Amino acid sequence: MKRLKRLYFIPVLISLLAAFLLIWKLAPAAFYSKALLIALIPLILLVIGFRYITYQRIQIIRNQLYQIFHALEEFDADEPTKVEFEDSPFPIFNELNEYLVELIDRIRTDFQAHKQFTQNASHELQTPLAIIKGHVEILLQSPNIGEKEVESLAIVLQNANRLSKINSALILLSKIEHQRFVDTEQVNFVAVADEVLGNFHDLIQIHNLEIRKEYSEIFEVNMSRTLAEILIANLVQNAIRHNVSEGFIEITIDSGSFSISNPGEILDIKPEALFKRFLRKSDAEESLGLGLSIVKRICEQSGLEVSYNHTKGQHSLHIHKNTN
Amino acid sequence: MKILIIEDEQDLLELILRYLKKEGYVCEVATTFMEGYKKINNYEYDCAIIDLNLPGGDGLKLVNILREDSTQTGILIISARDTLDDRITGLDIGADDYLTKPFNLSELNARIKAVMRRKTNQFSKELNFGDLIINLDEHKVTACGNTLQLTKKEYNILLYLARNKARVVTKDSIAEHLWGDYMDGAVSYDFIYAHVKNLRKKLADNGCGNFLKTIYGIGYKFQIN
Repeated sequence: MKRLKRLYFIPVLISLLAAFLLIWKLAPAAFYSKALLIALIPLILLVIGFRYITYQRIQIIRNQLYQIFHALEEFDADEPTKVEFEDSPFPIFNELNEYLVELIDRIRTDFQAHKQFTQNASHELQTPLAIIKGHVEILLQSPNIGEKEVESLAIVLQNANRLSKINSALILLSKIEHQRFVDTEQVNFVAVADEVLGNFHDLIQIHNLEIRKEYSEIFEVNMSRTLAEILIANLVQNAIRHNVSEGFIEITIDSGSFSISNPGEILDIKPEALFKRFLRKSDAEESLGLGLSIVKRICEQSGLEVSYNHTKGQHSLHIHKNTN
Repeated sequence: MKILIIEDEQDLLELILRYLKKEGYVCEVATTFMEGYKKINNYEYDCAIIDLNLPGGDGLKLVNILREDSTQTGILIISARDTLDDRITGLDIGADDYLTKPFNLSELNARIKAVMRRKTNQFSKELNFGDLIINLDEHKVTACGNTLQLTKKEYNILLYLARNKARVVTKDSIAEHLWGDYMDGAVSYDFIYAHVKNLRKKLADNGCGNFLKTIYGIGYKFQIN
């Protein structure tokens, strides 16, 4: 703006001065020159006045733009506060503002509806699923049930179980997304990792896996302890599920990061696609395809970053603090 | 033994009722807060199963009233509210156990038995199946006079199956009983399979080989010959 002002003023001043001198020198009589000079004064005033009005208008436009920027920057689809703009002397801005208010309202209602749907769908599915499972359980107890019927019931039960597992995972995801885990504390990842490994002890033994702990320092993160446990449990469970026979799980912890690796064949999907929902290899039917998206959500919520790579025949997942 | 079930979801109520009647309990039901309140005031029950979200009031109040009336009644809350706070409040005002919906019927059955054992002397300190005796106080299992060396998990599986004796217990419900929601899918089934295999071997080595029956694709059954 300052630069513009100078660019604007200097040529005007120079040309005025030049015109003034030219007239002074060339005019034969003082009368003409004086008359010209008098005529020049309103001209100069006019130029300055015009300049001033333009400046004011630019200032108003700039403020309006800043207001819009600010409103868009502050916009959170989860906040119910209404977005409001001041009236503008320019009709185009009023139109734009109206359009923006409408757009923001629509985004907000869509978001709320989407959130409601996920929550309701998962919750409303729980009871019917429990009732299906319960009746299968009762049918299974009847004494004169044949082998064929048991087979069918086994399939019904398996699928009902699968549905309710997916359902609880989705409920968990929606709880994380809607920040139901707000109690944070300093969580020591060494302690959590050891606790989770303890919980999975039998399972690790059954699969004949060797546990390698490489703890050089303590990794502490300010986050919900429950989420930290779910996070590491998901990672360990993944490492067990996608391991090779007689394989190992290596956990490396230093002051800035947590990593978990296990041997396994290279995947034919892009690493970033791994964290998407419902992605899974066809041969791992029991997997829900939600584990890693839960991991990613928890990380995002807790100021952590997660990445995956495959080197030297090993799958590795790294978690470190978000530097931004 | 007399049980009162207070639950407004008709289908679920029906389900619980059928399952528990087979177990030989005398069951009464209430579907609203007021109905539950009247029954609690007018009759005596050995055990009450109370849902928290009831039409007409909060089930927690019923727990409170029931507990003030009698310390002998076993109280089990069943609720879809699953936060730690809800659980703590429920147990604080006098419930004996808190089961989150949805649950397996065999889990409910096992919990009722555990609550009643703690509450009264109606359930003895051991489960006696002839050759096989489970001592609940000492967590000791005796097969044909020999004490078995069981791991904690093996003991828990055996107890869970025994509490649901002569019923088919699904793998899924065993997994949930042992782990909560921690595990899913075939990993937990492998785990249960391995434990039951060990358990069966230990029983067989001591002459009690045929208590645990596999129901292919579904789970296991504790049967008494």
